[in-house]
Amino acid sequence: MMGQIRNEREEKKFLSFIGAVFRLKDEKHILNALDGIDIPRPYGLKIKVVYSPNDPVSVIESMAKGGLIEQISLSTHVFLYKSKTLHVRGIEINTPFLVTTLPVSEMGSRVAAIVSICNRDGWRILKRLFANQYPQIVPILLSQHELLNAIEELKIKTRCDVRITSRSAKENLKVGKRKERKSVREWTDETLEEMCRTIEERGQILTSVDAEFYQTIDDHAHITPKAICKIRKDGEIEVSGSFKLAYDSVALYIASVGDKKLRFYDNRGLREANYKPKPLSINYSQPVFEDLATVRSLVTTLTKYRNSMHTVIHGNPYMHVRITDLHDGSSFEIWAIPPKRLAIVPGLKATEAAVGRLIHFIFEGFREGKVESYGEKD
Amino acid sequence: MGKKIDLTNQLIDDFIDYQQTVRALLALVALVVHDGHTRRPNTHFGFGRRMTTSNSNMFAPKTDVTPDLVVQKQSDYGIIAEVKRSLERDQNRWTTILEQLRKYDDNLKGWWTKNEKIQHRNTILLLHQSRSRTFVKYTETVLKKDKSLFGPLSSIIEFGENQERQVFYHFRLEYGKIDDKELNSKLEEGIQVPIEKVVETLSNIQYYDGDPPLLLVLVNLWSDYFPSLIESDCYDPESRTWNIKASISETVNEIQKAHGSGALQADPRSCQFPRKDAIKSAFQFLVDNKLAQPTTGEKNSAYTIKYRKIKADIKEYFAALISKKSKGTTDISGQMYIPGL
Repeated sequence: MMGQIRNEREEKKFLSFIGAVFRLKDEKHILNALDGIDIPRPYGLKIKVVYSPNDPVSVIESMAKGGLIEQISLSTHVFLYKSKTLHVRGIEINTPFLVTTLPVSEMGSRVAAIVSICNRDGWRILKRLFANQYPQIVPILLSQHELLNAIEELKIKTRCDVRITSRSAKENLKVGKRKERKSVREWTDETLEEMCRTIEERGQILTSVDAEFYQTIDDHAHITPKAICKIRKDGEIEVSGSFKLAYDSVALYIASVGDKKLRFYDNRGLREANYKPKPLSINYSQPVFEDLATVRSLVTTLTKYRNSMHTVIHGNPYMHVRITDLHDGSSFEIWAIPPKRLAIVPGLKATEAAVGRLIHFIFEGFREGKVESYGEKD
Repeated sequence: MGKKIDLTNQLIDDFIDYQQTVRALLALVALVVHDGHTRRPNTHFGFGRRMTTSNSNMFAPKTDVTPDLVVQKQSDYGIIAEVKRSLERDQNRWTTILEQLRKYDDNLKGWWTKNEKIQHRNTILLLHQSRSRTFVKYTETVLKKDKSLFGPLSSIIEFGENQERQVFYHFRLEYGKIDDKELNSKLEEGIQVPIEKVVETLSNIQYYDGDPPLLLVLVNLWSDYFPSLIESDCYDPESRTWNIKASISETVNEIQKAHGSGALQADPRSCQFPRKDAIKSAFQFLVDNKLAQPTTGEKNSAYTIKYRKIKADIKEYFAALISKKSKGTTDISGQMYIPGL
């Protein structure tokens, strides 16, 4: 299981095989074929769950019509992206991918999975292609809580023993006299519960988790994992072993969470909401804004929000900041007044993607809380 | 020759003053129309509402007046309020404030009742806590000479922002009496309205009838209105600007709907704010600073906004730009500024 490509000839042969898989007659056959494939390194089976305010499949089809990508077959949503790798001397690379709608809502399809077998470079250029389609294609951004739930979901569905083999996280580390938020990657061998304790003790904010799923019978676990999964907070899954398991549980879970969340954030802008304010709040279980230093640190964090503008209207002892998202022109007023609640008041325009991005940024850069409509009881 | 101060700081103070005045008025509305749990039935309020004085009005009989706030607690009781965020340094000019208050202490027409009149009412002057005592002393001195200058139903209420752990607007009766027993007892003791309640219910209101400072209009346009008009094909990578089409009339219309008079209950007596002049001045400022240009050949005051990212704090950026145009200093001899407001 999971060997390694040793030479160019093997790589060519493997790519030809992958091409054949993606040219199978329909989506069902492709998904079935993907489930049984043993993928040699450095290739991997990758899934990215995305959202679109319109149907994501039709957005991607229009990209094909515009010549950005090539649609391999008219009967399936399989496409080919030809691009150069991101290195200085980029080499031409062809990345095939399938787009499949994930049936998570009765209110129409807004979420889809992009599935590909490719190497690291191929995946990076594919991700960049979709990042450039924002806000037509929006990544699903998971909170830490949702990321851990995704693993738990897979654990329940597979009835497997789960071992965490590595994790990437952000942690406040002492650099000289100052504390700085640094990205850390750690290799480990622990249960999900043990990892949760560790990250809580160290105040880490997870970015991704690698987990192995071992089949168990009467508490006796197999020595070879049934599936290996890397789950990232931006809705990406990398699978080795059973693709079907990861797809049916993790991808569908991410899609369901993302769809529900982004629909909740939808129509919050004053113009769309017929000029009736629809503020949101992030509620914390503990008082966090009693300490002035915390209020100030949140102000500093918000002023560093990427591709945005800001104005600090009040920074002490309470916070009132306005943020303008330059990706799509959404704007928000953010208030920290009571100790356990942050208010997010959308301006004239506030797309669901911009609301999601801002909340994710606050979760990553400050701390996670529970998002509700402002004024709702906890 | 007056004292020169840094104009940038003064502009930012004015910006904050205006915003806090809006919130203080909203907090006072909340105090009158809410019973602590829900909004009382048949309550109404309006900023800058057009009211008509009686024939017997001491200063302006049978004239339309526009007090800052008219708030009706019930069908037979309401309050007329005028807010002063700053007082002129020269106390001789304070009589105009008393005259204005006296003008409003009248059986005004324009309430939300069948005959537009109300049985019981009070007229209040809302003053910041840092100046309320001084003004009360001044009033007492003036009244020794002429009692008629202060109406029988008038009072002075101080307000301020309590910025301790919990942020409140506090109100306290400093002079006179309120006819409504419930409000009188609350205001005599002093009452606090949590600012979060204002954010919860009226978070979109950013203007009242008073003329907004240029800086505030510019910041609101640049951080909220203009970006909301960005279209995917209006970006010019060469100049790194978005060319946004905007017209004064459409801007006024939408800003009023979203953040001003249009966001409140409206009827023929309601006034419209922010006024067109305020938006027009902001557009002119942008044109003068090459951040906008009039679109030639189009009617209806159309402009192309040369929209770009401002890396610094938007408020500070525009304050510095206005200040630079005004050579950085201003004469403030005629004004007494309220610290912290």
